[in-house]
Amino acid sequence: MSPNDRPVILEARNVSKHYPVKGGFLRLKTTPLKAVDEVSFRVYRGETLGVVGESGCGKSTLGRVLLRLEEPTAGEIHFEGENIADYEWRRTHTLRKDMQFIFQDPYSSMNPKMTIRDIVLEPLDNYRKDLSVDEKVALAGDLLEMVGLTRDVMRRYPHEFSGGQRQRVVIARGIALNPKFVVCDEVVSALDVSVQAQVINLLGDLKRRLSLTYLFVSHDLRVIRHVSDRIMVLYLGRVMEIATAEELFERPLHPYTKSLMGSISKGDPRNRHARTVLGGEIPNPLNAPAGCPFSTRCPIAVDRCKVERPPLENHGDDHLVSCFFA
Amino acid sequence: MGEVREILKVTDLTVQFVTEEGTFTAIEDVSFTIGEQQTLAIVGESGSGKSVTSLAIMQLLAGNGRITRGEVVLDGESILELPEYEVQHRILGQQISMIFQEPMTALNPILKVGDQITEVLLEHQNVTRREAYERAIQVLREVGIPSPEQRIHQYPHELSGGMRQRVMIAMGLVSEPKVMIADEPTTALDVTIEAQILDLLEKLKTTFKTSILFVTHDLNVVADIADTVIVMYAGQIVERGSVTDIFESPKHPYTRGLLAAMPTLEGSEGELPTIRGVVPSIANRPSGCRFHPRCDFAHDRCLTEQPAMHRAGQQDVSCHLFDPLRREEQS
Repeated sequence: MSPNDRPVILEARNVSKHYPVKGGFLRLKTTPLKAVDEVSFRVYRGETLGVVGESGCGKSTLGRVLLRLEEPTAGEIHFEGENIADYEWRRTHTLRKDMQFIFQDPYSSMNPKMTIRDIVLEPLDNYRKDLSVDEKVALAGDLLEMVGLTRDVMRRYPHEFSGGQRQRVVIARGIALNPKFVVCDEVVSALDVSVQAQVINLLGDLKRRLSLTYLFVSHDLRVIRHVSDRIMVLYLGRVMEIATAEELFERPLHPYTKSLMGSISKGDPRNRHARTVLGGEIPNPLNAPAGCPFSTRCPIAVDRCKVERPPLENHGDDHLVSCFFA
Repeated sequence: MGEVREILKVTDLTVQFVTEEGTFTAIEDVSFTIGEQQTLAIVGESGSGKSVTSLAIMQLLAGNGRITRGEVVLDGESILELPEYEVQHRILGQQISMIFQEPMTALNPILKVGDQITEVLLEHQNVTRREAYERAIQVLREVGIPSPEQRIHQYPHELSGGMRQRVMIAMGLVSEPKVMIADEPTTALDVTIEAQILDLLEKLKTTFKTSILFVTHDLNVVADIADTVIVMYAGQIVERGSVTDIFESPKHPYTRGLLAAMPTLEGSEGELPTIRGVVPSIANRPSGCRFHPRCDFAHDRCLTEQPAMHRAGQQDVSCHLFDPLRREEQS
């Protein structure tokens, strides 16, 4: 089966999210900050699509926009065939059962005054009105066991737990409504290495057991490599490259992806100078280049790159690249 | 590795914190040496005591923390017994400097970059304002800041994260210290900027003839920057050795577990190897070997008796598995 025939669970078509930023004399001028700019991609059912990029690339905003936690400025988001970008705000509530978000910082995404029981029950109270209180509590207990905690943690408070355990609680809440599509935003970034591996394994285990599809957002290329089936690379709100994880790491085609790969430490003290250093810095998104966003740092950029945007083109086997020279 | 001059020698450093809940030992018997122009990395997870170790060396512990045992010798001079005035004026910022993880909180937001760098010189060295400014511009150029003549008139918020970290490094180096302590200096940075900063530190170490004490949780960074490594767990050193030995033949079960738990760039199918359980909090450190509840090799002795440092291969390991007496008994 060619990848194109696989069932698509979510498709983004030219999705943009612009924030108005006031600036200039007397703050009279409004410039759009293009956090996400005409982004198009598909997520296949049952896969993990990794989204990687540096700060300001729009990866977290994209995750929130896809779930309609934020309003897209333009574009279509087709989830299971329906364009949910058109939904009225009220109707977006109906999406929560199927689409969930797992936040990056478990400490700030949990109310410190709520017990673990109330935290996990919250989505059930809001969306599973068909269940009795006892049924909901029983379900919450099952969920906690599913994420590797015990039922008796329900009466305790978030501060009593370590970062890894809190992350498990947040995951339990995220899967409580039995969603189909879950956005994981930097879920393991704040964790210690020894605990990070446990949580990565847990997410993989839940994906298999609950037939989930993940959009996995992270800045950590090693984590992204491990968890993803396919990877999308963002830079300044635009898609640079999309390919399978293996293809992207072995045959990166976009100069930015190549630089990113080159910047990673190899984790090998005998091979420390294998790292290549990309000069320059990410431009201010308010002042992004008109053409290819990477043109200011790109080693092979020509005049054309500065004025014209390269389209995202297929270079075979669903390996999409936005570069004139790929 | 040939004979290098010892610049920093830390022996049996022990720090306690007094809190309402009681007195806790944050780090215990931490010992290591850094040679001239060498980089030593302290690697550990949260609560390992890696940051407390660096703060104790600089005598910058919070009010409720105190050094209860140990010695810190900086280029032949024992600095823990020195009067506070002397530490403040002759050691800190002069012979030992420090750079932090988040330069935005470590830099003074209402002082221009130039004023912050020259402050170090004007405070401690006999230089004129003009000389100090010239020196500041020169150092900013060394750390790779473009057009430093303009940058010294800017405020920290006008700089990007990577540039701020460069300014921090410039401040740390302007007095040409013998040791620079870098506490997670790249953790808040993007991967391409991290690569730039690590490269810069490596280069500056030779230019400024500085030794670096590098504190981090990131083993990949350690592989890139360290000459020697100490691995800390729950306030103690569990393994100490050269960077190649630590990465190629780790001995302590914890070090082995950490290295195995890192996802690789080659990609790995299925489950990652994990270390079970969680890092103990300072109030709940286990008896015996502090790693025993998470260790696959723990036996009766590990539950009750703290392991001593044993020589294993080229490194020092705090684990009963490497006790030479035990191995004799077995054979």
